[in-house]
Amino acid sequence: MSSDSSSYKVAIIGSGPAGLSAAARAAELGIPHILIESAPDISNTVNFWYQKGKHVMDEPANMPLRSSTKFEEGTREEVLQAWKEDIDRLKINLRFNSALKAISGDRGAFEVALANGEVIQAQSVILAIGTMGNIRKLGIPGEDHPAVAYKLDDASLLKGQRIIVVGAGDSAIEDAIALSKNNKVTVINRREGFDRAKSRNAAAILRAIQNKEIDCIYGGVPESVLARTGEGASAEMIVESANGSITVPADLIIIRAGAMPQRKLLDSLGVGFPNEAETAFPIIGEGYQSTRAGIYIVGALAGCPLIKEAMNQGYEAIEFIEGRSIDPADEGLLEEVLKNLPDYRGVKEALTDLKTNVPMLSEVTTLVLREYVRESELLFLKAGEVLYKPGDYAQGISAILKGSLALSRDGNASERNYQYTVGSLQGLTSIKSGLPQDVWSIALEDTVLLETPLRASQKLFNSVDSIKKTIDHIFTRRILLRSFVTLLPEDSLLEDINEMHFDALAGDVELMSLKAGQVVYQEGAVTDAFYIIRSGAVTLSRDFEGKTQVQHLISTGEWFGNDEIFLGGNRLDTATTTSRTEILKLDASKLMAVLARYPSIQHAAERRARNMLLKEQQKSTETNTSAVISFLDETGVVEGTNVLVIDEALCVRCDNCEKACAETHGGISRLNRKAGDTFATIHVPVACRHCYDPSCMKDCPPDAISRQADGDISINANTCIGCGNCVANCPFGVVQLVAAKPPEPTSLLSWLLFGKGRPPGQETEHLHDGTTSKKAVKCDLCVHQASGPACVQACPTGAALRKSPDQLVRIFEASHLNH
Amino acid sequence: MNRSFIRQDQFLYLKIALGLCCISIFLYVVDDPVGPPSGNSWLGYTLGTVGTLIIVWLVWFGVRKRQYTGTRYSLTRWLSAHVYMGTALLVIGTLHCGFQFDDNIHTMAYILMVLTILSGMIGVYYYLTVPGLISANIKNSNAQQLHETIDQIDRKALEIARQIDSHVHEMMAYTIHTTLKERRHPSKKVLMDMLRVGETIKEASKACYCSLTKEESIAPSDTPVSDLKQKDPSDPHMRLSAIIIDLSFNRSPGEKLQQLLDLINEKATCIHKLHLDRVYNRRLKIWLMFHVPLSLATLIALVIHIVSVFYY
Ligand SMILES: Cc1cc2nc3c(=O)[nH]c(=O)nc-3n(C[C@H](O)[C@H](O)[C@H](O)COP(=O)(O)OP(=O)(O)OC[C@H]3O[C@@H](n4cnc5c(N)ncnc54)[C@H](O)[C@@H]3O)c2cc1C
Ligand code: HEM
Ligand code: SF4
Ligand code: SF4
Repeated sequence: MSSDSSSYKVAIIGSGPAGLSAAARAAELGIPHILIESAPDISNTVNFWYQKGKHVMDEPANMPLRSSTKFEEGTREEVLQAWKEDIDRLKINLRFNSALKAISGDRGAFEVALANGEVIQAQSVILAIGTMGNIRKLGIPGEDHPAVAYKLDDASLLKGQRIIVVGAGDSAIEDAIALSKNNKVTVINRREGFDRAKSRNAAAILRAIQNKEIDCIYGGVPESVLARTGEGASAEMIVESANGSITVPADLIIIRAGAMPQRKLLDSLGVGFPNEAETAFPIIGEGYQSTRAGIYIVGALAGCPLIKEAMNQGYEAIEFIEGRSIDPADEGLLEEVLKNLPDYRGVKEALTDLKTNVPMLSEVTTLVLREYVRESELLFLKAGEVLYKPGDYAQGISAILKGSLALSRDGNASERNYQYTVGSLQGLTSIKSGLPQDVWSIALEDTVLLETPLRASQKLFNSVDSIKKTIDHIFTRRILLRSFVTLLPEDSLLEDINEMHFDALAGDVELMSLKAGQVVYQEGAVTDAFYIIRSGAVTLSRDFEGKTQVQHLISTGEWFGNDEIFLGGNRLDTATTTSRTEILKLDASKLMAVLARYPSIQHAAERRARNMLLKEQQKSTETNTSAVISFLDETGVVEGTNVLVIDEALCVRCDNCEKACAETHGGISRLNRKAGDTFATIHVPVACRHCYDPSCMKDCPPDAISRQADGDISINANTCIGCGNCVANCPFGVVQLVAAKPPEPTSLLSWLLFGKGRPPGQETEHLHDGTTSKKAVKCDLCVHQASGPACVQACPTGAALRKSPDQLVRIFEASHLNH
Repeated sequence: MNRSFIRQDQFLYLKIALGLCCISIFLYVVDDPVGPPSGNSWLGYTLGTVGTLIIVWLVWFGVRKRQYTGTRYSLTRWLSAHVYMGTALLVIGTLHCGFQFDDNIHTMAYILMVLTILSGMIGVYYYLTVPGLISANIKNSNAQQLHETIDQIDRKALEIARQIDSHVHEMMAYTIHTTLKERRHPSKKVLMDMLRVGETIKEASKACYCSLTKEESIAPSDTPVSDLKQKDPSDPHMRLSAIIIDLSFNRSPGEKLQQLLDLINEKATCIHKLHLDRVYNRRLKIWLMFHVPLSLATLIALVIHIVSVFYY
């Protein structure tokens, strides 16, 4: 084993923006340092994952850059060039092709072992390895053949080639399907199925394999890549499979075995995490130090998703290692948020107050708290002012810092049902379930709240395990309360319903994570529990003369299995999940115990359940309901809160809906009428459904996607950096990445009379010159238009509807499907 | 169709239109003008003014259809009102002229109006019937998916053809190539051609099926096969059919051949569907090409009519 003779003060792992910035600061200060990079070039994320010519944005705009290297908004190439120049200028000690493998020793005398066997001595280590992982290579002979690639820039450029795709995840499937249109594709899948992929992708590739559009070698293990001479393909891959060794010729071999997650490596380094969740970030203490003394964590791995912040952290980490305590770069931003607090004394003091006043924040580290506050906003309410009313969607979680709020069903604060005081959280149920509020929240006195958007809150919840548990508990309690309230007769007051009565019930829940198509309970089984859906959906079906008929569709935030409790007796239906679903299972006897406290509710519940039963008996003869529900379910309509559906029996295919959309949205239609799924005459075009649990939102670095008060999921064009994550994450393919030429204004009359100018509703051109950055766009429900969605408004025949799934079920149940 | 423009607001606009007609008829019946009923009485002027306003408003629909912002009432409402008020115009206009027809500009305006209204009614008929036909034609799918299906069939057919015979493969590749080009720029001729290809192939394959399934082989002269062969020997599709047919006679009927024929059949069905889809879609637009010019002509004739009435 060779070893680097010199000892460094700091070893920095990963040459992304964070690591590079740390190394630059170290070099500038003349600190003996080494920057270790596993890839053959700097900054693998920017270098490899970004598309060529990508416009790199420098969000957040109001955060100053604090780094010894340059970073300005520009193309990917310009950004990388500037970094390379700085590496030369500052003489950064950089080593490529060296992956970190292990770290032994303690602070002051670490031994950093690399994958190539080398060992490096360092007093401190900065981990800046990001979250994109290392591209998983196959480690087989011939892997460096020029026909082998790890990503696909543009599938449409390839025609008539023989292509091997190795892998069974989403990216492998997407590549294989895109390529199979014009090429002969063979997929090599180590497993026997595609269960790791999104269900839509899995279904698509299975169909393609069945139709022989794609070949698949199941249980196939690549053995080697060989060059081929002579005619035809340039390479071939030897694959071991159940049927022995197979030789597959190929012009191109795409390896999509995914990126190696770093969690295992990090666990082995002794870096602590708050929980087992795959998405969890390591615990980071003061000065970016991890739970292992002397090892610092910065950048994306520290939960900071943007370049500028990553660079700031790299710089600051060196300062901390040098023993200088500097004000974090975000001091100004925090001051901006907090300065209007009553009796504000300074950022530090305000943060301390926060920790003491809001129990949830008491255990949080300063770094996490700072980010939380930075993303937040203060909200001032005068006595009597309304925080939200029924139908509003929470846009974030608000912690009460001063004052108190009353909740009331009819908007009258004096007839309040209960009261929340300093330290408690508002908006939790709405934001976690995607459901609108169902009561009024009114300030009882002058009240100050700290409002934090969804993602920043979520990050906080995930960063401390105890917070996550508490939040889950409060959420369950409130959603129980909410379900309970639906049982109340319209005119009764909530007066003595107390959220805390549900505490015991909520404390005893079992979280069930189910895949699509799993049975929760069978018709005829003993009724011992009831359920609340946290995400996903469930159908209740009944055997009817030998045929299974779907009776109901239960979606996020609703409860089911409770009617049998109220009525007594065994299960009347079979409950089956329709998609990946998280369900809370609660004890039936405990529910009865709570109910016993409220006799009037108990009666109402029984009455309701009986009525429901009667209605169902009438309904079960209609097969169509069942088919419609199944369709809406299979196509994921049930995941949406507001879905565009076209009744094809009325649609005259005039495309006025698309024209209206383009005309009202910068010349780009956000809906595609022709595409999408159809069942009988129900057509679900490709357009945003404003999901309960929006996948697009999950991985947006600048947090540009949010649910607005009106319930629409919208993308902020100013902060979107055009990374395309949302495009990839939306299961319904509704987000587009565009750089659109602003459409010339149109004068309707001059076009009508003289044919001059742009026809109204014409789509604009897309720019490809790289001068404008691409932005993600999709339907925004036309919230800026008083008359509602332009597509619906512009439909001449009444075919276009934008409704919630249960409204749609009702409409189609009643309408023309019967013939 | 609870939400359609026909039923909009519980037939509100039908009711208004009927009301208007009833009032007009009532007035027409009770009115006792000097001389025969005509536009030249107080009732005539009233009905004429109402009619003119309605026509101008009906034409304005073309403008409203293209206003996408700041609109108050949905286009569905507008169309509902348009349809019923337009039809009411038939009554109002006729009563206005008091059944006085002649070969002058006035009658000309009337005829144009009636034609516009009739074309509108045809439109409504199409709007109510054709959408359902489109959906029934391409069940649970769309044109895009049909194209994809054809692509898949082509690929499979090519692969099977390759396994049968290099000649068949070459021919198959050629037909696929031509239909591919045609499908990209579908015109009426192309569609008819495609349809013919489909039909020809279908016939050919039918003939082959006969020959494959019947015990004794049919003499070429009394099957449609011979017709096919004689039709147009240079047509590549014909040649393909001929090759397939030859094969089926000369070799033992292979499974591959049957598969290929199945695929070609399937493709013909798809092409037929695509064709129907285009026909239906065009039907939804083509009537407007009469309705709109007619409505403009009505407007112009109306202006001349009014000017001439007041001038002379
Ligand atoms: C497609 C896309 C577009 C984006 N666009 C923007 C944008 O426009 N603006 C913006 O501000 N942000 C953008 N982001 C986010 C931004 O890229 C990241 O926040 C940033 O790269 C994080 O920097 P980092 O240094 O923490 O990690 P990374 O940039 O991920 O760098 C980690 C480095 O560590 C190396 N490494 C990993 N494991 C090891 C190991 N075991 N040993 C040695 N080295 C290792 C990797 O090879 C890599 O070079 C985008 C992200 C994506 C995916
Ligand atoms: C004199 C009477 C009428 C006039 C002047 C008139 C005028 C118009 C105009 C200008 C348009 C707009 C077309 C476009 O821009 O695309 C239109 C559309 C239409 N009209 Fe009429 N119309 C008349 C009567 C009628 C009647 C009687 C009916 C039906 C019974 C009718 C049914 C329609 C329909 C269905 C449309 C198409 C709507 C659409 O697709 O957007 N019209 N008419
Ligand atoms: S963009 Fe996609 S994931 Fe996001 S809300 Fe719309 S449909 Fe759902
Ligand atoms: S909105 Fe989409 S493209 Fe824009 S930054 Fe967020 S995830 Fe990336």
